[in-house]
Amino acid sequence: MSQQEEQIECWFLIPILRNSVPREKHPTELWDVFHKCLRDLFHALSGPVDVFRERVKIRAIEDVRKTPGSWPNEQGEIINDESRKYTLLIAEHKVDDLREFLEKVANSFDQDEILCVVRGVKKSVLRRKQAGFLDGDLWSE
Amino acid sequence: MMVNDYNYETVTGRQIDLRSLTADEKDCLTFVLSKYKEKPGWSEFAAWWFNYVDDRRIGSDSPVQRICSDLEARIGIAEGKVKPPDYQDYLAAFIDEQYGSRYKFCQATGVDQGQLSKVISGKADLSLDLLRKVLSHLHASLIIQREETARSAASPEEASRVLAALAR
Repeated sequence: MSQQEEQIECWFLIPILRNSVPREKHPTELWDVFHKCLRDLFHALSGPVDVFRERVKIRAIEDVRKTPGSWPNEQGEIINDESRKYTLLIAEHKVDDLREFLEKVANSFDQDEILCVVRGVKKSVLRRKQAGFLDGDLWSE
Repeated sequence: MMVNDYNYETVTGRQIDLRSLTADEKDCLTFVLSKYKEKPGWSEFAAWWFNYVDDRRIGSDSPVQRICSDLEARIGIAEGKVKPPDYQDYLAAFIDEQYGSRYKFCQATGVDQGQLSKVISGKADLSLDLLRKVLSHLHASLIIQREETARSAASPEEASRVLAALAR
């Protein structure tokens, strides 16, 4: 008998420019590292076939630019970076895992904040140095 | 870009032997290529291949994943949204491919890990002497080429041309 877990929609933004001046685009392979980590975080390909496999499903990846004033950062500054928006369907109990993952994303992608919305509620993730970097990040010190 | 008909080279110089692909992987990649030729946008292609390859149950260690990521990167570079690779990216890729980590590379070669980290993260440059030493350990050499040649080698069209051999 399959175990069904409710999946909820959440999205987050990763700006395409790094914060440090001069603001540069991310290293060529960093997006690949990110996708691998995202897949590894939520994926369970092994196990008996009758057990519900928690898998992340990407609903969409879009290039967006935030509407000015729509999402100020924690300092109240209006950041209007062009970003990649990931819309996911994940099991609800994985939301905390996602937030921990986004802390590493913030470090690897050199961002002070990753805007994240879960079920319409802003749950942004702030940079936390102790969280470390994405596994396979070859570019961060 | 490619060394021979069965070698796929990523924009960061990683070599993938297409002969190592299973029949299922070749089939998957052939379909990916057909979508690629429709000239999707960078993120549009990313979303599509991530789910398609997942649905095909292609493992995360499969060369297909690496190739699809590279195809995606080429679109991103062409759209101006992804940084074109520079020598730091080539170094990082070669070190990863041959040693698995910066730490293992530095342990094996005596190159200072702190200095190498600064170089790869773009915070410092290598002296020419140290660059030669690092390249020697990686069995690589420094090449100067025209920007136009580098752009062409990193283009989506070049990747399509190489992968078209799969369909033959």
